[in-house]
Amino acid sequence: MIGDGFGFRKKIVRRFWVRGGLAGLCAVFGIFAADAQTDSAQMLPLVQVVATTARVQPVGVRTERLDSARLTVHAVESAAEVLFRRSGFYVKSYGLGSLATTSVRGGSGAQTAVVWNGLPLQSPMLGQLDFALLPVFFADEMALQYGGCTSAWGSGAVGGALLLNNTMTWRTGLHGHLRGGIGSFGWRQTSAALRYGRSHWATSTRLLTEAAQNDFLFRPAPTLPYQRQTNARLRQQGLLQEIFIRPRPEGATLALRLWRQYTHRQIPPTLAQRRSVAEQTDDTWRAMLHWRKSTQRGLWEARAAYFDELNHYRDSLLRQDTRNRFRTLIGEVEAAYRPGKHLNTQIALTHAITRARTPAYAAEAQQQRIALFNAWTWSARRWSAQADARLEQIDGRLAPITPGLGLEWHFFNGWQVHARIARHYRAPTLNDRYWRPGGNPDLRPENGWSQELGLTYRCQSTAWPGSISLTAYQRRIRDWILWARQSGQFFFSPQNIAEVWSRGLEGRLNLQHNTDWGQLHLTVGYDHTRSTNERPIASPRIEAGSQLFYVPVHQLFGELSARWRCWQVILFHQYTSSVVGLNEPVPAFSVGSARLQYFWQKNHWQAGAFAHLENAWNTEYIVVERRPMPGRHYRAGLTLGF
Amino acid sequence: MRYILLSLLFALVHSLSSQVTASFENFNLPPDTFLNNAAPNDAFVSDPVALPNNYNPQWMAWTGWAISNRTDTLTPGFINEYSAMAGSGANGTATYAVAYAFDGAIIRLLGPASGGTVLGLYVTNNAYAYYSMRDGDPFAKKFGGPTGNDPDFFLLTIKKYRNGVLGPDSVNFYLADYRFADNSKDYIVKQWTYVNLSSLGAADSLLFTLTSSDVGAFGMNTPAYFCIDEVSIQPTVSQKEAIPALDFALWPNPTSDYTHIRLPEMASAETHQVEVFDAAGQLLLQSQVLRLPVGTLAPGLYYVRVQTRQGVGVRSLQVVR
Repeated sequence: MIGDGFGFRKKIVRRFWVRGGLAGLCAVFGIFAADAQTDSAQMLPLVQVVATTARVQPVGVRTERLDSARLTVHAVESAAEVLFRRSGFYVKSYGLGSLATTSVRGGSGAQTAVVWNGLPLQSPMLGQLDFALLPVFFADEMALQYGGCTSAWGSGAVGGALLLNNTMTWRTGLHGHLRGGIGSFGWRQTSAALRYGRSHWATSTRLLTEAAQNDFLFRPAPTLPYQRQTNARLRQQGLLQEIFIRPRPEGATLALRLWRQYTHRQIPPTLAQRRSVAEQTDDTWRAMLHWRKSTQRGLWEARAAYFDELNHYRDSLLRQDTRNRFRTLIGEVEAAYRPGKHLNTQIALTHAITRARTPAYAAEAQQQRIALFNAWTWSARRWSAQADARLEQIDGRLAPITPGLGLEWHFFNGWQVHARIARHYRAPTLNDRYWRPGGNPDLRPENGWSQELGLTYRCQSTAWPGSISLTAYQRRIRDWILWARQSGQFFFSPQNIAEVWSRGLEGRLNLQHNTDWGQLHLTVGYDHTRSTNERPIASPRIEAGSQLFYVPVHQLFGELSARWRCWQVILFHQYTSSVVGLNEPVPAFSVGSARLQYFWQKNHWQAGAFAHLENAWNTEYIVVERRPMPGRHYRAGLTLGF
Repeated sequence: MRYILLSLLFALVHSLSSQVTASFENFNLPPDTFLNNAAPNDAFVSDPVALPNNYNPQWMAWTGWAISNRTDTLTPGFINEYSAMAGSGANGTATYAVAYAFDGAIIRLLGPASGGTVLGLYVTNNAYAYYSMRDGDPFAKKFGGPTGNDPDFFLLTIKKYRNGVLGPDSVNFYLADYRFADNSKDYIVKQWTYVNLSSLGAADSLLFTLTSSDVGAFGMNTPAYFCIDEVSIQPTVSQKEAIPALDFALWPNPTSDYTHIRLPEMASAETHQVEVFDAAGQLLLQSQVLRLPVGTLAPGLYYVRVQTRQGVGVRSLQVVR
């Protein structure tokens, strides 16, 4: 949905003081799916939707937004499950609750950036994030940026970016909710949220605890009887604490955020493994201080964050016990200024220091990054244009300068064209540089250019609002880093040996029908992705022109939602074509799911119920070779709020 | 007649007595330990064979051969990469050799054994490979697959080099074989098994390569390990007639573009034949000069063989960039 971002670009900061009923409550508490524009006689808490910058809504970048109301449908899920069902992000899931990475527009897992309130979350050791460890409950908004946004978010935002935002709320009084859910395979989840907002300060607390046996039945082969998955237990606890301070209602705001999460997962055996006793814990501390001040013509922001993540892998059978830990300190100052009626400029300076330790490094690895981002945006009634660039230095080495140029043109009534050309890069990860054996400190960043062109039509009809869009893109990345083995070399090491050409088409249809009795909403998306190796490589065995591992050529998904009074039914379906695996092809699969939700409200009390049917057609499928996925299963729960 | 029988018996006894066996007991390892990193040499020598070893102490990575008397036959996984599944050496000995042979492994015959016939050796699985094949691991499959019917195999192929030329003949030995229609016959070797190599004939060195049915884009998934012991060799020439080993040095080594061959003074004036082989034993370069250009070779491990009238010698060469 082009341009459906976090506000309008015409003003640097724009506030919406939304007064309504159900929708606003949902926006704050995420209790029930309802669109933010819904009105009601009920008094709403005041929600400040902090608005846009050139990074959050860059011109010419296709962005899909999931606001808190839409996220509510997925409130008990992880980001991996959301993206799997309703976006063009291909999610490479190793199983229920297991590791999940993404590929966007034919990129690698390390070419998807994850940004939390403006700062990147990817592990500097791996260059990627496990999307199964991102509870949707901890985000108020999600935005999916397709295509490279390296100039905005730095290294890694080559294929796309997932933005996770938390919104500030003021003068809400005391609100809270408690949600409990049970489901198949011993799934239990309890979450609680408590918000209290005064004029000058506010606080928000979210607690999450989840457990599952994940002992689903599967058939290792079509001729064999079903057997139960073993060693797949999950246990997770999380806390997101936010404190907001605002000395004056129109003055600067200060947000303190603390995200603490502990996840213990057993790692089930593969289909080709007799048993597994491996397990892994991920212990995460994320703290962020975010200061923000807006003026008539400008916006000032400063962020400081400390991320401390420990991954502890152990396998008593194989006598492995490995602790991988990184700590990152990030500081960023950002300013946006509107020198003229149509012109905005934004500048950001970021400094990050990382220290990482794993037994596979000879010593503690350190990395220092300094980056400068600048964007100029010109917006008129029909035209918007943006020129941006990023200059980054990593450990004293200058990374490729990544300029970008985006255009949007609104013409006739409801039509829009967008285009963008940009350069991208991905710096080698710390594992690429220091892992023993093989680490290569002399690696160059992956880099290349992308171009995209899209056409969108929006229908503003009251009864049948909707949009349809088609986007074409292509991207060539050179010096693609691949762990490979050269002739005579007896171990794999990362090398800048690959060149990848990605190109594709993305189509989206959003159609809504508003009637007196309720609302129907249909979303359909199709992605055609060709992402090919342009050079032959001996080991791993890759032929020129071959599709990348784990990048599907076809992805099709659809969502049909119907809302009537207090009821809502949502049907999902998605098809993923066969992908090239490391050992054998992974067959195409088609999976459907359904949601039923009920919401009840009286005075200041709300209650809701949900029932989820997953893999409704009981499809036997795998996403990753040798890793079975569960058949039909269920989740259900209750929500109480005030 | 009696005279003929006596002559034959004498010849047989003489023949048997002239067999030499490399048993790897000369390393005198402390109990339940292993020996890796042959530096400053490029090989472990247990007369009459040399087992090339390439160990990178910076990365603790290695290829080629290690010497071991580890007895742990119960622990699966990479941590047990130095143990033979038999739990000891062959024929009641303690020490044996472990090969990590992702690209193959070579043993060189030394002194009078060079040019002789390798009669045979004992082979068994390494514990890491054995349990990986039996149970699977996060990267490699359980042999037989989920149904037990997959026709998996783990094959050791042995060929010979003679005068730098890889012989056409080979001896195959299945370290694991799940190709039987009757699954009860499927097996993974866990005892020392004698492999007769006399059909290969006269050899300077032997090349061992591993192949598995479990192969992915990154190569063989089955851990590329096996163990050998009690390598018996029948020299074909007497000590007098044997081609002596030529001692020479390569400098610089490692190198990126050129390496110089330093021969003993007596040999330096003679005509010499220089050959460069890759780790798989494939002949890549031939030269008659002592300054070898290696700039066209990919980084990796190579073997330089020099032959003069004084003898034949082989040294490993590391090409780096």
